[in-house]
Amino acid sequence: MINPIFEKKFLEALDLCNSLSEFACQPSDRPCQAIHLFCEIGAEPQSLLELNALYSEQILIAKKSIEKYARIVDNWKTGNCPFGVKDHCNIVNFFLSLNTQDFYFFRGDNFTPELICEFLQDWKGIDLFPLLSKKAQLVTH
Amino acid sequence: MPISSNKWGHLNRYERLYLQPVMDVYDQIQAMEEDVLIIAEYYQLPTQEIERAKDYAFGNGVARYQFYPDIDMSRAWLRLAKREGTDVDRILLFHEIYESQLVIIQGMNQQKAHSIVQKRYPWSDLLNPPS
Repeated sequence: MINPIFEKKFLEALDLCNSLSEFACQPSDRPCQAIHLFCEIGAEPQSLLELNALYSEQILIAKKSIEKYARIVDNWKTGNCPFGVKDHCNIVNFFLSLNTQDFYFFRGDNFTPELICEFLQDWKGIDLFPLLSKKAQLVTH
Repeated sequence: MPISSNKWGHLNRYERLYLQPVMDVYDQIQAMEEDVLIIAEYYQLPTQEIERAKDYAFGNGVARYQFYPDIDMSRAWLRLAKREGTDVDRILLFHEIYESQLVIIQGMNQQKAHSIVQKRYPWSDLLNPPS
């Protein structure tokens, strides 16, 4: 059973992604806010996987919003997350691709899923490496 | 052109750790001496325009405007400097020339300048095909 607090945070993060259309070509700290929410859920990695599966259709819409925004912005410093806003979009997209594993990055090819996991472990103390494995299985309850 | 000794002073410890390989490429570009002349000659552009764009994107502009090192930009510049620039690299060159003109010569806010320049030279949009 999905933790309702995590589910609320997940939906809040999706809303933040969808609201990026209001910031065309302008800096926004919303991707950073979404990262904080995903990291809170990431304390229980399996919850991230389950929520990704449960809201797969909404995720597709959110990912389109992120991509549209990320393609035109500069990598400005925004919010209180390390790195720039384009990197934040990469990380948000990473969180929303954990179930499908179709990772897509808007900036550079050096910011790999493995590197993002390493960074999140270092920064937030969450271990998402098990979710990168192709063998990562969605546990149904 | 003398470069600020604290070029990466705006980066925190995570950024320094994970972006070090790209920072190294920026240092490599900064140390290049013939790139400006090669690019100016190849694209038939004034040397000072290329010099200003390089300093803006890879030199003093980095600290002044708190840019993050960008692997795609640095790879594009290295290709341009070898006369191997692609059509998309050329868009980046014109993007940086135009943006540096608006910011440095006209004193425009960097974010506003990027917005304007992006409409004419949408380098980041052309860089990756839509997913």
